[in-house]
Amino acid sequence: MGKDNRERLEIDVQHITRVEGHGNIVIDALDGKIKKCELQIVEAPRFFEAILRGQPYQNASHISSRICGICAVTHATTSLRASEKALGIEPTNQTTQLRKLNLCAEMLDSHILHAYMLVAPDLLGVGSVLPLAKSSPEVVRRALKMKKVAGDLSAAIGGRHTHPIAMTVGGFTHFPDRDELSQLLGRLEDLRSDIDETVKLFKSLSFPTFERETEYIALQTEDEYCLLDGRITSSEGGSWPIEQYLEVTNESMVDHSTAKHAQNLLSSYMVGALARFKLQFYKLHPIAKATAQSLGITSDCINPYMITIAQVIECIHYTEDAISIIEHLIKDGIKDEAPILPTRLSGEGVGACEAPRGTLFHHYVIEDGIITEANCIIPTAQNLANIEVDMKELVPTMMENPLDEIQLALEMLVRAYDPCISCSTHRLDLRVD
Amino acid sequence: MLLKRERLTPDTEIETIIIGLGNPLRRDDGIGVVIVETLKESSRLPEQITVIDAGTSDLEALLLMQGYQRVFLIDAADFGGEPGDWRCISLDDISFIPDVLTKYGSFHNAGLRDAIALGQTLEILPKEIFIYAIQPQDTQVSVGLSKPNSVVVGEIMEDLLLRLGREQNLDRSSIEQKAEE
Repeated sequence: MGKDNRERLEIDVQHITRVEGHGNIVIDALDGKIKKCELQIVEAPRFFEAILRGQPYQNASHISSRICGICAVTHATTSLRASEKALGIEPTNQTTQLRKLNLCAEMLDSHILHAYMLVAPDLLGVGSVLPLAKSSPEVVRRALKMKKVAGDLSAAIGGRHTHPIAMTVGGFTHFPDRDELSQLLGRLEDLRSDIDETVKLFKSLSFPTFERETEYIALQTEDEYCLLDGRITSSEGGSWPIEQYLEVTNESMVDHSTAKHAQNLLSSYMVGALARFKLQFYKLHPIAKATAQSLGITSDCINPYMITIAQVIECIHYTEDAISIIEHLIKDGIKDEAPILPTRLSGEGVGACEAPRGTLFHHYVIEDGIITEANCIIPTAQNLANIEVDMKELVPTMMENPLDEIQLALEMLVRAYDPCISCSTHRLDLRVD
Repeated sequence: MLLKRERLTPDTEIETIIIGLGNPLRRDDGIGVVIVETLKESSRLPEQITVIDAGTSDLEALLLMQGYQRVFLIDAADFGGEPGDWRCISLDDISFIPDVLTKYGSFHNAGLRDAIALGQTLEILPKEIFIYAIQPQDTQVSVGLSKPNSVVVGEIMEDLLLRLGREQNLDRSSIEQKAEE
């Protein structure tokens, strides 16, 4: 396409497609200078914290799991960890392993959805997954097959597809039996060939090249690619206990968004697959590391469009992680453990997990078994400021490109972050005196 | 209310799944979930019927209905009725799914419309799809159904159980008839 010479650039994308929730992109630039560059979040704020207040702690994880239909397991697990820390409960190793297994399932489910259904259509130039299903039905069938394995694994552990019901404070109320686990193990082993095909597909696609230094944040533990607990760590060198999450997120309100913006050591930061990949590359499964090399991505990558590639690599890691956890569970035998009871009924706790889109925090104050204060900080809310800074740097590099190219590049940038706008909007806390 | 399409079902016992959709944290948006949870407790629910609460994951609903021959989806939908009005629509009775479902306005970013369109393209949909669509009064973030919606939960369950019983009998008589032949 030819270059356009223009003094003024105006872009107004209402309701970006293929993201969860409603967001707009608004750009106004004159003579190469950006006057306005906003990712407007217009979704009505969702008062989830208000619903949690006044609830018995036992209900919190079930309510939280309804915040998001994609990250239901992560919300539930993070909620459980917040309650357990508040009430002095230390879960058993089996409970932690089962939770990690379910988090692996959710990561796979969400990453496959994002890579195949939301990102691939842009890179293949087909607009959406429907024409892709017509032109390459085998590709979409493969994605659905992979999603089904992840969903069935989640249902076996959580007792229900999508919104787990068997996960409770202190443990589980239902356990998968040996046969179920063996069957799932076989299906996960079969998944390896589908993941190989996925790697081939994404290797053949060309991602936009846009690079920008920023801060990357993820949870980390000493010995493994972290899914839950651990410490908050930054690419800029900091490390904080989970309880100090507010010192990292530093949320502030902005006029054009119903979701807050977060900022730590730099002007903005990124959470999610690329942040985890960069910070914990050396802890990835060897096959995932080798695949990263073949896909041409290293821990030095600062291209946000490559978040999808980091997700593909994480799919390998989480599949191998899930296989390993199931093998251990089968070897050790699943014990019918009763949930551990609280040592107290009042306290304060912060839970943190890595959701598909990044670090998720739940913070509860519990008094006599009732939640009196709740705060949830969602990955997308932490990424919003970073997306805007990306947009501000990307637009001046494209001023002479055709308008539709700039618009597509911006939409693809937003989609790369896999934003879940519906659950990130929670700004208002109204009090009427 | 009777189904528009009353006919003998195929000559094998039809495997049926009932899927509730919606978010119970958005009041009436969660009516599909409330109905399936109530249904699970019913002693009249035929054993071989699968009942699943899929929450707001419409794509998950598509995956769940794969392999079944008949699906009942239960969901809040704005079809311009009075709060608590409900319809049971057969997919066969809808000529243009995207347009009609836009009009019927699922609250989940038209995800159900997209999921059904994807299923049609890949030819993985059950042969028979019925949608129970219930007009909400209130979908603000809060818990509990509005009065107009809570009073129709029993009515819809009754309709569904009658429908299942009747169609199962049709299935059975069809199988018996086939065996006699």
